[in-house]
Amino acid sequence: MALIEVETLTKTFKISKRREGLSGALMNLVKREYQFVQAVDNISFHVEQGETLGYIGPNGAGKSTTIKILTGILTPTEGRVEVNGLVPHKQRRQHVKNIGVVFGQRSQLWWDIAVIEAFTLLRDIYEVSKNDFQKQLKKFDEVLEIGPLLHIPVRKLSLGQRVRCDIAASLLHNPPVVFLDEPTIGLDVAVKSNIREFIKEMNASLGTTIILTTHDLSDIEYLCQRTLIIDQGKIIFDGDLEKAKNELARKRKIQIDLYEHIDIDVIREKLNIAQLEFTKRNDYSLTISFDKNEISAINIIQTILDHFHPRDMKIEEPTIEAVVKEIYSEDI
Amino acid sequence: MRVSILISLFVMENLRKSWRHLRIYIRFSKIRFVDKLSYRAHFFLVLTEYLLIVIVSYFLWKAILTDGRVIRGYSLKDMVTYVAIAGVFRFFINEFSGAISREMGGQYRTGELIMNLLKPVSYQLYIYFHAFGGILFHSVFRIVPVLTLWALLVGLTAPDHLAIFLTSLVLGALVHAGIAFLVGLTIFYVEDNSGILHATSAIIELLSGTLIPLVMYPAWLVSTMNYLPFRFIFYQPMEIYLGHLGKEAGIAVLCAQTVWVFALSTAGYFLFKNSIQKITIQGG
Ligand SMILES: Nc1ncnc2c1ncn2[C@@H]1O[C@H](COP(=O)(O)OP(=O)(O)OP(=O)(O)O)[C@@H](O)[C@H]1O
Ligand SMILES: [Mg+2]
Repeated sequence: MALIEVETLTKTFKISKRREGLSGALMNLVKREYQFVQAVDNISFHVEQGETLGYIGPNGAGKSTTIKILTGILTPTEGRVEVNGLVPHKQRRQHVKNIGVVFGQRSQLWWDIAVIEAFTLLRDIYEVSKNDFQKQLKKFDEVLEIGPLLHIPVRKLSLGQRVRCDIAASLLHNPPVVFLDEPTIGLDVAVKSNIREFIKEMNASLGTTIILTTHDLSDIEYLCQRTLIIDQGKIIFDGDLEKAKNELARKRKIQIDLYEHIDIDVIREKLNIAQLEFTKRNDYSLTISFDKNEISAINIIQTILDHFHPRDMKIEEPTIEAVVKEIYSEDI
Repeated sequence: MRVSILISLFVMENLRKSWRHLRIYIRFSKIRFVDKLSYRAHFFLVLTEYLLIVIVSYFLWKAILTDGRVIRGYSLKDMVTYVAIAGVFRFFINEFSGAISREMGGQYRTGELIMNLLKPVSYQLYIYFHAFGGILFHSVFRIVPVLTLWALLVGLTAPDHLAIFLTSLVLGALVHAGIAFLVGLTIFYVEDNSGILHATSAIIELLSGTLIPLVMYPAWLVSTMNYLPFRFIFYQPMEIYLGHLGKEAGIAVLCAQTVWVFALSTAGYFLFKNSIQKITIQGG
């Protein structure tokens, strides 16, 4: 049995349509019209203990909805969900003892009290011993630099400061399962890379299972062996994004700048390979695209060096963004 | 022998656990209490408004209850004590309803509800105890000083059976919390429940006896109210205070209050459990 099991999960939202203007508002009073949104549409997947799963997709794809169901605060319309042998929305209080949750867009901390007070409250709630608590605080201070923030009320923190405290708060009790919904929103570069490092370390040393939602694909690239891509409520990809990158984006580009005036026909003739695609950028510069599995870049460069006078050359690797874009567009 | 040791160990363990849980909820009360401290300047406004209302009703009853007249068991002395205490309670009975019902609506809209649902604590108890922090604040900084002032200037009858009275006040607050929680749940079913909140606020004010003693109402209303929980919030504790009930009837009131606390809170527990499965969480 997998740690997280999701079977044919569907969530439909019922939204009352609002008509515009005063007459529309009056009409609304008399007769309501409803609209149904399939936020999550019949998805299934399993996550094993110790996995770090990336969960990505365009805006409104259904990521947060899935996370809300997995954390027990939203009831599915159909389907089965089990985490750690518990049904989240039915055994909510039992379930949330074993999980840590960060919603980057909203705070998990009590608004009115100082950060440290929120932390000690959480310590009591999760029954963390004083000793462990001190250790955790020290660790978090190293990674998230929250030391100076501890005595400030939560409502006075900046976005990034708040997110840092939120992350610390959600991991205080060393939960075996962690849900991170856009955890690096609003964070500066240094803290962001610290957090990545920390998440990786936590996964390696404690075997924590992590589900990570983000729009920053470099997070995914760095942390996740497996990625789910969801679009319009449906899972359109489940696997290793790095592999997908190699398989899907085989297109490589070389940009060449020459001292002489460019004549594409001459270059095509010299290179004499059928599958090349030429794009002239200006009179002295062009881009050659090719399938890297069939043609080696060295061949092209060698030929250019032999016959022309290059001023500069640049090989462009496909980016993970391009891969994901391609998966999205294939789906349509 | 061994069995009794085991049993006592078991009891001790459970007591220890309950105490640990209780400690967490008490911290929610403390947070609210400390938070309220920053609004202390408000006190003089409250005092002025209080004095106005109480002085008006004081002269009104003085005019009605002349020459030692007694209406439905209330002498002038009883009545003056009643309005003096009712006057100060009226304010915070309103605030207490708000601290539960309106707070629940606010938390639903801002998403703070989610945050609380993601913690292994009982939302109902969290809301109750949070509001108790407010009560404590009001008791210490409003009720006690205002009544002391009144007692020094005008005079107050001393309470009959102080312990029973205080217990019934606490139970009254719990009855009130139970009602306010149920009212607060309406936010899950209607988009805007402020109308419902206002209406129940008015009903609670009328039927709990913070305006006038309930015996002054017409007989049919009085007998209807016997079947409702509202009178246990304020009127019944005051009847104990004034010595209209005596010890036995006072204890009977405590029992009835306890039953209502359980009934209302249990209803709240199940209704909350049920509605929480239906709601959709607002926002990203
Ligand atoms: N409470 C709600 N009521 C109605 N519709 C909702 C509600 N919450 C989400 N939706 C709809 O469900 C869909 C999925 O939303 P969700 O928040 O899961 O997207 P997401 O993948 O997290 O997007 P983002 O990247 O923008 O955070 C959207 O079309 C959204 O409009
Ligand atoms: Mg989202």
